[in-house]
Amino acid sequence: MPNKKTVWFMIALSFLGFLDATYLTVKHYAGTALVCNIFSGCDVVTTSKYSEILGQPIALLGAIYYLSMFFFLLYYLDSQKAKVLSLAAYVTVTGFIASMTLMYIQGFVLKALCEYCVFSALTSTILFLCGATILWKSKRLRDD
Amino acid sequence: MWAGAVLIVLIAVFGIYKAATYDSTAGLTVSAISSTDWTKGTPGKPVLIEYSDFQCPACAAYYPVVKQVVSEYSGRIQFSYRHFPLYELHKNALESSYAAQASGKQGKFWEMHDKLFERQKDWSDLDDPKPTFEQYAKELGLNVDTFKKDSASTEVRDAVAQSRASGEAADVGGTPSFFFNGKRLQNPPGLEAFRAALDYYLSQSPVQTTSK
Repeated sequence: MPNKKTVWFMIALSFLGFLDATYLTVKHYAGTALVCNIFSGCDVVTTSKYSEILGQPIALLGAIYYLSMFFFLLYYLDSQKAKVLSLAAYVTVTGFIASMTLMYIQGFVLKALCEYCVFSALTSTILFLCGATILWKSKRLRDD
Repeated sequence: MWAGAVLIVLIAVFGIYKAATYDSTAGLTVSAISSTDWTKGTPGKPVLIEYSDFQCPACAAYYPVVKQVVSEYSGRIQFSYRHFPLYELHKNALESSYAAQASGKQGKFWEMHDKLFERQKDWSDLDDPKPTFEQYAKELGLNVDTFKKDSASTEVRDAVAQSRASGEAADVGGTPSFFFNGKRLQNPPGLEAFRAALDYYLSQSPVQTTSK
């Protein structure tokens, strides 16, 4: 299996992303103040009107995304179906676009950053890069 | 493998849940309202205390919410604003606290409090915010010379330092931090949540507390 290492790396990243998003989700429902250590303005971000979509916290969507990715990639390792992996790789684009949108809102609309959100943007970006590498490799294999 | 993966996820969720809801301040109380506090509302009613910093963006975001609930609940609670200038992060936090405290000596604490939050963006990045604060004092009809003298006075500086010290004693780690009847309130996200929190705590404390 050519991509095994990359896939394990993505599984680990998805797990970290899931922990981060779950933390934000629980904080959102509990209504407790976030402890900001690096940037100022965590509260501004996580209590802003952009923190929810259809009444649900965006962090919850993130948690579902990362958890799905986690199990999906495990399913690929189990089943070894190439289609499963390329589908997962395509889905990382969604996570990447969502994260970039949220980073834009933080940086340019709210002008406040939340480190948990920045971490999530980082994990989804690396996931996307891994996904792109996998797709690129499989295309090259097909072309060869 | 699947059982292991599910188990790991469940353990992680449980751990995160515990970490996110862990309240290290549970049981800690905050000092009662005294004659040196700036208060609004009705004396003798349950007390809402806010520890805040005029230069903190989250505090400015909370400002309209707090102002609204305090006006709505003014007959049922007493509200107090306490300085918790995060001077480690915000260079003009102390000076803005002094400005509010000095305005209070001329009976316009709340007016300056409102102005500082409403115009936070105008003075946050200034290297010397004093002329701006003096301009605000002028706009509020204060005696500017007295304001300047008071802002620099030991009395005003000590009052701000004591306010912050009382917050530190109650383990205030960030701003804004709210206490209802001496107990830490988890920051309600937004106006509706704030009303709901106050309704809940007021229903839990039908007995009026003493204000001293």
